[in-house]
This record gives sequence, structure tokens and C-alpha cells, in this order.
Amino acid sequence: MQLKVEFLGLARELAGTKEGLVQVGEQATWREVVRQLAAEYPALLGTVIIPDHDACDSDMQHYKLAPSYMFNVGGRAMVRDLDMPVQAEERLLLMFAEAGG
Amino acid sequence: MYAYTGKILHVDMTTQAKRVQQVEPEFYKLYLGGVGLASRLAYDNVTPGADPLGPDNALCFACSAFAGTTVPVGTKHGVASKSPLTGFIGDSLSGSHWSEMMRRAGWDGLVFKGQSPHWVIVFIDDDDVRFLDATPYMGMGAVEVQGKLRDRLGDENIRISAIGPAGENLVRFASIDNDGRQVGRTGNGAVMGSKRIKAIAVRGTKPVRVADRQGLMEKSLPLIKTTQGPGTLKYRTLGTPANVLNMNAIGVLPTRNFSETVFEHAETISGEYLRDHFRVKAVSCSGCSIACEQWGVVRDGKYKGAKIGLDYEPLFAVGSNCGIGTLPPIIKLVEMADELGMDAMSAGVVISWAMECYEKGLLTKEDTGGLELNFGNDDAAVAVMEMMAHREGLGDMLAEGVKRASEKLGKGSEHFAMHSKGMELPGYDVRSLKTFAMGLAVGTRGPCHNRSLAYELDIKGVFDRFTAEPGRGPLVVENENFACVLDCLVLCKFLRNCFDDFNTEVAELYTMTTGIELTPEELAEVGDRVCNLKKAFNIREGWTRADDSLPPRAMQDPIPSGPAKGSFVSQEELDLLIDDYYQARGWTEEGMIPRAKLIELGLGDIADEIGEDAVVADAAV
Repeated sequence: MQLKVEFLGLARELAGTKEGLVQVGEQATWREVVRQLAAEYPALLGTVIIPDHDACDSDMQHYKLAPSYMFNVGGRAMVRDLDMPVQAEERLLLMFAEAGG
Repeated sequence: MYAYTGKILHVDMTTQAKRVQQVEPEFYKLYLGGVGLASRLAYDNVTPGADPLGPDNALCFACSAFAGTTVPVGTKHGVASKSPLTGFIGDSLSGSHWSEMMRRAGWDGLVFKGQSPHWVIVFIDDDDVRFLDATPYMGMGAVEVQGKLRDRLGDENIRISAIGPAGENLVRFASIDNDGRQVGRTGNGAVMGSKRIKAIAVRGTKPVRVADRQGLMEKSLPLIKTTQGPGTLKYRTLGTPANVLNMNAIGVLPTRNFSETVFEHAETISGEYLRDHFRVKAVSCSGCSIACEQWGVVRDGKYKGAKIGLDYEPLFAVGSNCGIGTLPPIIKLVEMADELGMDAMSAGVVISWAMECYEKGLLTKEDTGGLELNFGNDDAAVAVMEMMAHREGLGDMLAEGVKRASEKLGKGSEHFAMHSKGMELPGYDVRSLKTFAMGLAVGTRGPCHNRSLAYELDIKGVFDRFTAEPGRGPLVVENENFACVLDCLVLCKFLRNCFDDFNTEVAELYTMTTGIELTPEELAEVGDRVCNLKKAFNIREGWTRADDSLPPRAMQDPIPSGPAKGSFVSQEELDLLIDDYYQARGWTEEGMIPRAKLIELGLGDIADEIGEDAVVADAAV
């Protein structure tokens, strides 16, 4: 399935685009979306997307979102578990939220 | 004692008498500096029941514990008094060279009480304190006057805290400017104006000595590197204006006086747009290695030449919340607020309220002096900003803040006067951020995103932001205490993710700096202590549970459209959330602090002072 990802903030600056398309399998989890994003937009690596050493298996490099970055689905639901399955046709935001100073 | 000087300067502005308070290390260990020290000084020196704009209020400044050291992002200062907006504790922070210069002059804190018979500049020259006639500087902008004073005093290294026309005219949300940074919220600029202090100039020539210079250097350098790493790149690249599109995307961007939560022009007022079209540089506070403040300049059009450092909060307040969808007028309005000496957040929310009143016919062209004060009319917003600072026409009513202005106008305008405790709301619509709704309602200085970090719990999905249930209180309290520790040290909140073990590493930095032994547990406890200290201040001023509230719009008007459509905070939900918070704090159902809790926190003197009427004696802790 194809997912439209809206990049916000630094993710947009690094990706160089406001939105992108990611192709994942029908049974894909959010972790697969992160991996595809890392492949399509390598500039995100190291800042927005980082290696997930806890989730490594022998054959595949796993990734996760860096702390303070997150996926939001449809402007309502946060993705809390990258191992949950992706729902089709979802509007996906790659965003962060931190105020202060 | 190292770093700390052990001295607080007290100045009676009525008589120009000076007094030095000697302070022991044990005292600093309880409050650290910044907001903690300033709030304790306010508690000790504000006469209970004082008129915030009268001589019995005390305006208290406090250094950062790390001021003038190699610890990065730690040279802020705190200011506290009784707020003219809320009538409760008014604590605020600012980052500039002021904190370091105050310490180099030999002072950990300054307390100004009384009321000068004429306008003065207070010049603190190391141990010497002089009072200069302020007449030539009256009416000058808060930034402009600092340059003029440095010229007159013949020393460009002198640091200055100054008020603008708004502070002179006792606008209740007036700010204090230092090096173009502001002690913004709660109206400390009006308190300074009420004492007839146009500016406080400080020259310090003494070194700042630390207990373990080599050790502190070895700890500071890796920390500086971390602050310049990938974890903070988002601040350096876009700064907080990046929040505009984030908040808009999830339907919490206050729009047209908090009536909507999605702004159709969000893209053209975003941090991303600012960077591409208006940004000239990123600047930092004193001693900061991050540099988050994004300076924008208007290069053409009617606002040509306007330039300012933009943060999200002022941007939302005079931007989407006033229906203004382009950056040039926003840059102009924030520049005006800073130079006139007003909190741009409160100013923007007041203007947006007036715009809604105009659109509803509650204010007419006759009231506005001929202005067509519709949402999106930037010319009218610019005119009203000036009128507020000078209390001209409609501006006189608006200068009172949205609570008092709506009470004066009436006609149902109180329904959409977006304040809690009298202070205007920050830039997150809480109708779909219910954990944050709790955090804002219970805020001791009024609703504040910097004191309660609970929006993170909602936005990151730790809790379902659309519902409310018991059990959120402990995490909200934990976050509030943590924010408070940062505000007392003072360390910038953008440093919060730069440590592996915050309490252990920062306690070590503190001990290396001051020579005062501080355990990680003792550091963490400062947050709880100071939050309770500020609450005790409010209780002494007559606080009741009814003061922990949200505006009627947040509780009765469902969000009309967007991702959060239909959401609002019911009274039942707010009661539940507040109950949960009080319980997590160890307070009574009415929000009073049990005597035993105060004693446990080392605030036994306060337990004795605020008395049996306010504190439920020996209630369950």
C-alpha cells in the first residue's frame, strides 16, 4: 500500500519536500514505514530517524524515530508502538512538538 | 561559597535606603536561583494583600546558579512579584547578560520595594548604588533606552533591564527588556513602572569563582557539544516557530481568538516560511550554544525595516489568533510589543478578543476611534498595539488585560475572554489537550506552557488527548516539578534532553559550581518545594479552588472543525482532572497544602505564617 507522509518542521527541511509517498506491504508495521523513509530520505538519518539497536535481528537494520519526533495519524492519533500494523489510506504526519526555552 | 556571592541587595525606592541581606548556603540549596530564589524573595518581601501596583509589592530579581560559568544555556535570571494581572505570584524568566552582570557586581538577588517620588534610573555599580534622574529617558522604547543609557554611562558593557512606555503607563502585562530579551509574562514591567524605575543598569567587575574549575570545564565541554548535536538541530534550524504547522496539523492552533483550531494561512506564517523568506540569522541568549531565536526582517512593503526574533508564542498570538496570515505584520507587531514593553502573548490575545468584540458588534467604530477592528486587519492591530501601550482611547481598557477589559465591557464578552486567573492563555487550544487543560488550570502564575509541560503528554500520545480519566495527576506533577527545577537552576528547557541522567549529572554540575553538596534527590525535591512555595504565596493572597479554572469558551464551545472537531473540556472533566492533580500533589480536596507537607519540604516557616485558616492542619499527606 501507498502512504502519503507530510513532513513538518526539521523533517521537511531535511527531506527537502513537504510530503512524500512511501510504499509498504499490506501487512507492514510502522517500523517498516520508518525503514522506507530512511531509504527514501537518507538526510533524515541521524537526526529524525536513528538506528534501533534494541530491535536488531541478524539480517536487517531497524530504525526508530529520534526522541521528540513522532508519527501522527490523521491529526488525531499518535503512533506509540512501531510494531503495530499500518492502516491503509491514512494521512501520516511526521512531526515534533516541544516548546520551552 | 563559590559562584554565589551570598548577598541580596534590598532597595527601598521610597527613601532610597539600601540594605544587604546575607544568605547562607543552606538557603540557596533549597531554592537554587532563578524562579526559586525570586519567588522566595517575593514571598518574604511582598506585604500580604498588597496592591500589585503599590509600594508594598516587591520586585525581586535572582541570578541563575550557573551565571557566568562554563555551564551552557544557564545564564538566565528570574523575576517575581505579585502579579498585577492575576493578584497571585508573578514569576518570569529571561535570558541575557543581566544574570552574569548582576553576579559580577556582587549580588545573587535584588529586591525593590516602596515607590520612588520621581522617575529614576537605578545604577548598581558593583557595591555602589546610585539613583539618576530618568526624565530624559521617559517615553523611550524598552530597547532604545538601553543604548542611550550605555552611551551616557560611557560603558558598553553595562547591562540594563528597562521598561518601555507600557511599563510607564502601568499596562498590566508590561514586560521588562534586557538585551532584547524579555521578562515577559505576568506584568513585572508594570510593577517596575509602579515603583517609577525606568531602568536598572548594572556594572560588575568581579570574577565569578567556581569550586572545581577543572572538573566543571571537563563536564561542560561535552555538554556544549551535545547542545550543538542532532538533538537540538530542530531549534537551531527553525526554532519554536516550527510549532505553527505542527499545531495546525493536529487541530490545536488557536485561531481567531481561540474560536477555531485550524488556520487557513498557517503555511505563510510558519517557521518554515519564515526561514525561506524572512530569516536573517539565528541568535542565542547569553552563554547559549544552541541559538534558537530566529530573526526575521521585512525587506519591502509597508512594514519594510521591521525586524525581530520570533518565537512561536508571540507568533500565534498576533498571527493566527488575530486572523493575520502573513509574516510582515507579525514581525512588525512583535517588534512593537518588545519596544513598547509589553508581553506579546498577552497583547495578541487581548487584541484578538477586541477583534471578536468588534465583529460581534460589542465594540463599534466609535469605540475603536474609527478603526475597523476585524480579524485579519493588520493596520488596525498595529494601531491598537500602540494605543494599549499609551492607554489611548480603547487602549486604556485593553491595557487592563482581557479579564478586566471583558468585565468592564460585559455584554457576554467574558465568554470568550481567553484567560485563567487573569493571565491570557498560551498557544495551544486545550479543548483537545485535556491533560494540558489540567496543567493550565492549576498553574500558580496563571496558564503557562513553560511551567506545565503537560502538552507533551497529550501531543506525544502518552494520554488520550480527547478524554479525561483519573491517573494523569502524578505525571503532570512530575513534569511540572521538572520544569520548575530547570527554572530554578536556571537551565533552558531546550537542554532537557541533553542528559542521560538529569538529576545526577546536574547535581554534580551544581556542586562543582557552588561547592554546595547537592544530591540528585535533593535537586529533584527543589521542584516540589518551589511549586508549593508559589502555591502558598497564592493561598496567602486569598486563592481558592474556584481560581483554578478555564475560560467558558474552552468548556462550552466545541471545536467547530478540523481534526479535533467536537472536542471541549466539560466542567465534570475539569473537576476530575483537578482532583487528580491535587491528590498527586498531596493537597486537600480544596487544593490547600497540609501543614505536614510544607514542613516536609522545609517550608515550616510558611506553614506557621499562612495559618490554620488556609492550611488544613495535619491533614493526610
